[in-house]
Amino acid sequence: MSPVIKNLIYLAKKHPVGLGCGLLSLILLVLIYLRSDKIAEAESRLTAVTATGQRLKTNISYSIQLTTQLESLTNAISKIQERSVRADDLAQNLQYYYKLETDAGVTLTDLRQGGPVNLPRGRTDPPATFLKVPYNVGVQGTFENVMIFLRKLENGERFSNITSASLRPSGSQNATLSLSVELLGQP
Amino acid sequence: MLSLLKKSGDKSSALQPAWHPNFRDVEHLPDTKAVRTAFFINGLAVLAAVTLTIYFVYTEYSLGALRTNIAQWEETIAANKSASDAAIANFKKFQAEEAKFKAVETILKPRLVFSDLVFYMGNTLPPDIRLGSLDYRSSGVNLTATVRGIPEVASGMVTTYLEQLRNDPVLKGMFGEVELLNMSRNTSAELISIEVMLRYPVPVKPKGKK
Repeated sequence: MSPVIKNLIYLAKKHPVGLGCGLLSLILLVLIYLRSDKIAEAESRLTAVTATGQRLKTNISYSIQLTTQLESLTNAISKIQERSVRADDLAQNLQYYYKLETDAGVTLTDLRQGGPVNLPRGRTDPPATFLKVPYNVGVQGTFENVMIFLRKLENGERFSNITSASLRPSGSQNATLSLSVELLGQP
Repeated sequence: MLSLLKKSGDKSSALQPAWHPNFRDVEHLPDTKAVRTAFFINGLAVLAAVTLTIYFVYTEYSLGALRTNIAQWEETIAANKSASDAAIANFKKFQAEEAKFKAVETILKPRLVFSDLVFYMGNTLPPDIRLGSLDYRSSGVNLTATVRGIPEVASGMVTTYLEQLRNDPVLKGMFGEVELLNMSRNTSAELISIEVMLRYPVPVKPKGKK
């Protein structure tokens, strides 16, 4: 037996507690070293899952009324779409003005539809749902009837925006109204 | 006192080398100290082992607690994932619908309701002034009117009317400036024709970099 091993056995016999504790300490040190990353890993994992979990919870809590709101908004948009014009349906679009003419008791002296105007949008934006369909409208009649026509146009079935207007007398009782109107349209 | 009486020559005997060899085997002799060295070594070893054991157990306990927390959160995530995904999908739809709604708002955003303006101008018109025409443009509203009366009086009416337009609470909210563009006299008919421009306020541009 080599003298080193002899010495070790002698030491073990002489200091069994010290040697045992030393060995235990050594094993523990190795284990602590090997598992030292685990805590940091677990902490970072916990931070990540906590953030994800909180985000999901927030998403759910914020979306409690979202379904109802989305439904309301979708309904509103579909109603707006029903009341908008199609730029291609020229006959139907002009018919709207002829109906207003009849209802208000005025004479349309001018009615022209222009090309549809799209709203400016970015490259990544989805295709436009709505656009402007411009018209030049000339109306003649009594002041009262011209104002009835104007009111019906402003608050009528179709959504309109008067961009310019000119109202002036025509003869002793009549008035002339020239309008540039944009109706809400769909492509 | 005895030490003082001793001769200095006694010191020489202590300095003399040992006259016999030292046969003591120090390593195998028993430790005769009051507290043995082995006690300190064992104590230190036990202390280190106990400290490391406590630290190791505490670390493992912390790790276990962290893993329990992670497992709980993962369960929560698994339970909420589908509801959250549905919420995100709904929100995207909502944004798309909102964009449509904003487009409608942009298209149908009049600066004024022309019929309301016509009726308002008519209702607030002084008795001796007659409205001629109203032109609504992108820059504002141009109105023409005639004032009946002898020129001295009629011109005063024009000034009063202009002041009235400038101080009108409704028009003040819409227009920034009321300007008399033209005034002409028709002596034969005792009329004064006026042309007034109600301009929209000029939007103040935000100060940017030069």
